[in-house]
Amino acid sequence: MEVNPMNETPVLEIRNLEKYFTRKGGFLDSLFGSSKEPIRAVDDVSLALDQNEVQGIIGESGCGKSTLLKTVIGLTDPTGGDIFYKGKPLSEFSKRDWKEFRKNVQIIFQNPFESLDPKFTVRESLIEPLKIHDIEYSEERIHDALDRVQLNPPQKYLDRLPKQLSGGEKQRVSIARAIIVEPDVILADEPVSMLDVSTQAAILRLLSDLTEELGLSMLYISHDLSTVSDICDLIHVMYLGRVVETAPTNQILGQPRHPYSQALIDAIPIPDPFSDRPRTALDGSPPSPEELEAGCRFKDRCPERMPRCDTAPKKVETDPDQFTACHLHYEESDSRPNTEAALQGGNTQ
Amino acid sequence: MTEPLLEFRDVTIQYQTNRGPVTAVSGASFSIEPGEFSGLVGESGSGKSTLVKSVIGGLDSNGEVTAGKILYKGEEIQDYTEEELNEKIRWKEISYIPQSSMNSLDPLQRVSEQAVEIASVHSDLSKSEALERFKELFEIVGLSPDRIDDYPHQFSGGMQQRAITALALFLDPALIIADEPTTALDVIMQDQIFKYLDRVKANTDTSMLLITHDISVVFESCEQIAVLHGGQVCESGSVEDIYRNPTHPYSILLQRAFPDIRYPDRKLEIIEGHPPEQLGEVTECSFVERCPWAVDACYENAPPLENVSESEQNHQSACFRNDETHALKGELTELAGLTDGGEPNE
Repeated sequence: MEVNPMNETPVLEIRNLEKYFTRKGGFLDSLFGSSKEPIRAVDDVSLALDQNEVQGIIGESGCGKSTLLKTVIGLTDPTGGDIFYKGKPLSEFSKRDWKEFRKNVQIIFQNPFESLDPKFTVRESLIEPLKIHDIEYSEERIHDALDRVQLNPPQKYLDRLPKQLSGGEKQRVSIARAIIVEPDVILADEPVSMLDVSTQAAILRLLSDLTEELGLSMLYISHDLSTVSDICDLIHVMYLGRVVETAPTNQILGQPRHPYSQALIDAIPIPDPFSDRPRTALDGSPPSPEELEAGCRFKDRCPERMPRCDTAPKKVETDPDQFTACHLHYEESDSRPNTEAALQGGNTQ
Repeated sequence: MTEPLLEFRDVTIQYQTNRGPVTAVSGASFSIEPGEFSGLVGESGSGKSTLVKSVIGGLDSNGEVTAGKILYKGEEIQDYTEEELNEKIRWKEISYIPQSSMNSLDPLQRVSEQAVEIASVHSDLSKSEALERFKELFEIVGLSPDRIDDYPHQFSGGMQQRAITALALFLDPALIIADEPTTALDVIMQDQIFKYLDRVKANTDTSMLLITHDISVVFESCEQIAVLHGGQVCESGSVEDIYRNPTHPYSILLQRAFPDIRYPDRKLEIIEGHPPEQLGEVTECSFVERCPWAVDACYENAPPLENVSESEQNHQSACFRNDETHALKGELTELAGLTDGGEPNE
C-alpha cells in the first residue's frame, strides 16, 4: 500500500475493492448443479487519494476502469472490499451521508455531447445541481463558475443551448457544473478523449489549475498515457480488473517495470517521422474476462512469460514509490504460491 | 514526374442548406502519387471527410463539387454518375474504409459471402477464385484464413477492422481511402492495425489516403501530408519537410499541440477557437480568426498555396507571411526535442 506517512485520512480510499458479476448458467448447468465463474471486473483494487492529489487510472477498454468508477460513486455495490470517504465506509452511509457524498464527489463524463441536457441553457445546467443540493442560487455564483472555466464573459454563454457550443466549450460547462457545488473530489472519466487535440491541452490545463486553486482531489480515468503528465501525480495501470503497476507519473513513463505498462507506452505514436519506433510486439486483444485463468492476467500476451506466471504475482516495490505486480521483479525465494509473506513495502492487495 | 494517381485541383464543395450554401471545402488542391501513403490531417469541421467522400460519390444529397476538378489517373471524376462510379471506380480502383467501419459489415452475412458479392458485381472472378483471394488477404491483415466464413459478430473490434481492410484490398485497388480507421481504438490495437498496414504497403502497390486528426500517426506511417483547416489546404509536402520546417501558422501550432511521450514535460500549445462555418463564398484565410500572426491581407483574400523554398520539393504553404514564419516561430516558447528547420533530433 502506498502508505501516507502524514497519517492524514485520505479524502477517498478504496480498499481491496472487488466487483464480481455473477452469471446465471443455462438450464443444464442448474440441472447438474454446475455454476459459472463470476466475471471479475474489478479485482482487489486499492488506492488512497489525498487532498489536492490527482491520480490517474489508465487501461484499455474492458480493463474495468469504468466499473471501478461506478462502484466508487455508489451506482453499483461492490462485492468485496470497501470505499471510504473521509474515513467513513460507504457501506455504512446513511441517507444524509449519501446526499453529502453526492455533493462532494462530482463527475465529469467523457462525452460532453451527451452529458448535457440538450434543452437546458448553460444557466439552467448550472442551476440544476444547486437546486438538487439545496444551495442558494445567486447570479454571482454562476458567473464565478463560468469565469473559473474560462467561459468569458459569462453573459455571452448563459443563455446558450449545448448545440450552440463547441465541444471544448461544452466540456467547460460540464466542469463548471461539477465545481459549482464546491466538491472535494472530481472523478473525471476520459474528459478529453472526444475533443480535438487543439482543445485537449486547454481542458487538461484547466482541470489541473482548478485542482490547484480549489484544493480538489481528482481521479482521472483514461486509456491514453500520452496526456496524463500534465495532470496526474500518480498513475495506476489497470489490466483486466487488476492494478498491475502504480508509480509517480514521470517515473512510470520513463521506466515502466510491468511488461504491460511498457507495451502501453511503446504503442503510443510519436509525432516525429524520424523516430523509427517499432510497432507493438503484442498480438491479439485482452482475453474475455469470462475466460480468465489462474495467475497473472497478462501472461498469455506477455513477451516475458515464465512458468511461475501461473501463480498470481505480488505487488512489490520495484523502485522508490513504484509498485509492480510482476514475477520479473522479485526472487522466487518464496515459491510457495500465495504466500503473502514478508515482502518489505510490497503490497499483495 | 509521373501522373498523380488522384489529384484535387482547386476543389470547392458546398452543401445547400436553408441558410444558403455552406462551403465545406474551398479551393483545395493536393495530389497522391502511385504507391504513396498520404495523410490528410485536420480537426473536426476541417472538411476532411467531405473532401474524400466527394471522390467516391459519398456526399450527402445536398452536397456537391461546385468548382474545380477531381482527377483520377488523369480523368475527371467529379461528375460521375452512380453507374459510372460503380462500374469504373468503386472497389477495384478506389476502396473506402469508413470512419465507423465496425458498423459497416453486414451482420447477417458471413464475411466471405460479402466478399463473393463484391467480386460478382465488380469483377470477373469466379466464386472459388474469389474465396482463394480473400483467404490470402486475411493472411496479410493478420487474420486466420479459416475464419473467412465467420459472421462479423464473431470478430472483436480490431478483427472487424482487419476484415474490412481485407475487403478493401480485395479487388486490388490502386487506392484505399481510410477515414479515421483507428480513432475509436485503444493504442495497442491501433498500433497492431498500423503494423499490418505497414505490411500492406510492403506487399502491394496500393496507395493509401489516410484521413485523421492525429498528426502522429501520419508522421509515422505516411510519406506525404496535407494539413486542412476550415476547408482550405494550409500546407502540404513530405512528412519530413513538414516536421522539420512547418511553415503555415496552423501546422506550426498543430504540431506543438501534440503530446510526445518522449518529452512528457512539454507545455503543449493550445489553439483557441475552432474552424469557422463558412456561409457562401470564402474570401479570406479560414484560419484568420485563430491565427496569432494575422494581418489585414489575411481578411481580404484567401492565400494561395505556394512553394516554401526551392530546396524542398512539393512543400507548399498557403500563408501571406510564408517568408516571415521562421522569425515568427521564434516568438513561441521553445519545445524540448523540436528543432526549428534544423536537423532532426535523434
